[in-house]
Amino acid sequence: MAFKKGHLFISIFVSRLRRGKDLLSGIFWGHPYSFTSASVVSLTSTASFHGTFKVVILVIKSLLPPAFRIENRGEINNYLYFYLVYIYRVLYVLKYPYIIIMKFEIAKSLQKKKKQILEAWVQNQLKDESLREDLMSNDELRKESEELLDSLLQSINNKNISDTDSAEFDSLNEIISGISITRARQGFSPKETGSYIFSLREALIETLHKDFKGDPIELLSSTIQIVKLVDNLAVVTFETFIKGREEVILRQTNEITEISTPVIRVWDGILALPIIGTLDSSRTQVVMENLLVEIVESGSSIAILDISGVPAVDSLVAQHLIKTVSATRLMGAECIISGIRPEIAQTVVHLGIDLSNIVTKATLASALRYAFTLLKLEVKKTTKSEL
Amino acid sequence: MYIVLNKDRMVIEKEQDVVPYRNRVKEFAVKIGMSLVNQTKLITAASELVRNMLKYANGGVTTIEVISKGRENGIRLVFADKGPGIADLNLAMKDGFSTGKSLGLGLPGAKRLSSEFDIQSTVGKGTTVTIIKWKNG
Repeated sequence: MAFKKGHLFISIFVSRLRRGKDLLSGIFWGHPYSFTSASVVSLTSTASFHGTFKVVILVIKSLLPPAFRIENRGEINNYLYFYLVYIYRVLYVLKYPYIIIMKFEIAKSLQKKKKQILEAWVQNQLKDESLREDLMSNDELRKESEELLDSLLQSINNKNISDTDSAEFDSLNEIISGISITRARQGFSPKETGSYIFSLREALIETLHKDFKGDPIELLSSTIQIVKLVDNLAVVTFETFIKGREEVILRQTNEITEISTPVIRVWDGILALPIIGTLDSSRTQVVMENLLVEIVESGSSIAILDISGVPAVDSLVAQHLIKTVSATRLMGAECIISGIRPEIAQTVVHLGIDLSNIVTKATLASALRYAFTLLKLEVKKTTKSEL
Repeated sequence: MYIVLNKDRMVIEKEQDVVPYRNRVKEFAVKIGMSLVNQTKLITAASELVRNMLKYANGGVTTIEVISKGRENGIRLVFADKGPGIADLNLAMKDGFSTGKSLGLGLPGAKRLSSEFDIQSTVGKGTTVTIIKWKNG
């Protein structure tokens, strides 16, 4: 089976030559290693004993001379050229017999050399200038690195090596997220966490380098795979870091919304609610709830909504205001909107928002005065003699 | 016809982008010396259109430009989204018409608030609204 595949490659190679393809790509096709590795692919999934047996057959077969027909004299040169490549291949396979079985051992060879990788990795980190000995002792660092490496080597196999989204990587991603979060809490910068993961890449590639010494093509392709793998892992740390930050921001936003809507009792029966910032749906909800609860608790009959601190009133804000006013009226209280600045008044008119059903005042003071008249209260200036 | 003096681009994706966007528009308006009333009108129109973009098209791209025509300076805002588009523009520009439970004043209000208003929409492809507010307009 494997040999037939090899034949297929040879015939493709020859027909390429016939069709006048350049020789360089022909050389690539005829490269002894690309021939053998292509044939070995079909072996990767077989059981190990069976696989070893097949590999032995394959080695023998790959040493047999290529078989293809020469149809006319002009092809003699091609044949000679191919024969040279064949001799080269034989010599290559004799020199580095292990390249044939190397294909399905990237993951395995890494798994075997776990200790070596760990050592190299820890050394890399210790050498790094950004090492934070003040935040984490070397023992802790080694322990953390070992845990991560263990999980990494358990997760990888040849198929998933550059796809960290696959299910096998779930536990590894979890560990990395965990490390990223604890490190962020300890005061590491995201750059430091990132370079911690990146230093693993060097350790892995160094180890691979020793394995693939005689085979630059395979070294390159496995290096690319390792680089992709580690890059993906590093991206996970950044993502976690940013997610953590976003959570903090979200929490703070919620806190600000809560804090910034105080309901003030300005007088017996009069509530004031200064709104600062933008009114969006969630904020309106908070404002309305606080106001309605406070109306019931204090038994107030007048509420003043002050929008001096709202930078722009667009139709959404206006809609929210109208809703709040309607809800207050349902509770049996009157609602006054104050703090309408001249430019906002013009804008509201241009927008076409109808606020004529709502009592509006320019300042909080005039709103308060209006509230006093509604409650039949009077504020008087006293003369000195009365004191 | 118009000379673009200064240009900025902002991507709107979530509700939290509205306030920074308004502030950016305000910066531009202040820079060319627009009066407070016109500033507020421009910002309100921008706010309406950005909210429309978020609500109906899940966001889009906006451009802020300082433009000049003859002696007059102004701000041009372009709102481009890839949303569902508007089937009937005349209906959409009518006061009080809304497909989304709002007051229905966004588009017509923005038109009244700006000096020049242009809307292009293709169903299924998206909507582009361009408004210009002159410094003294």
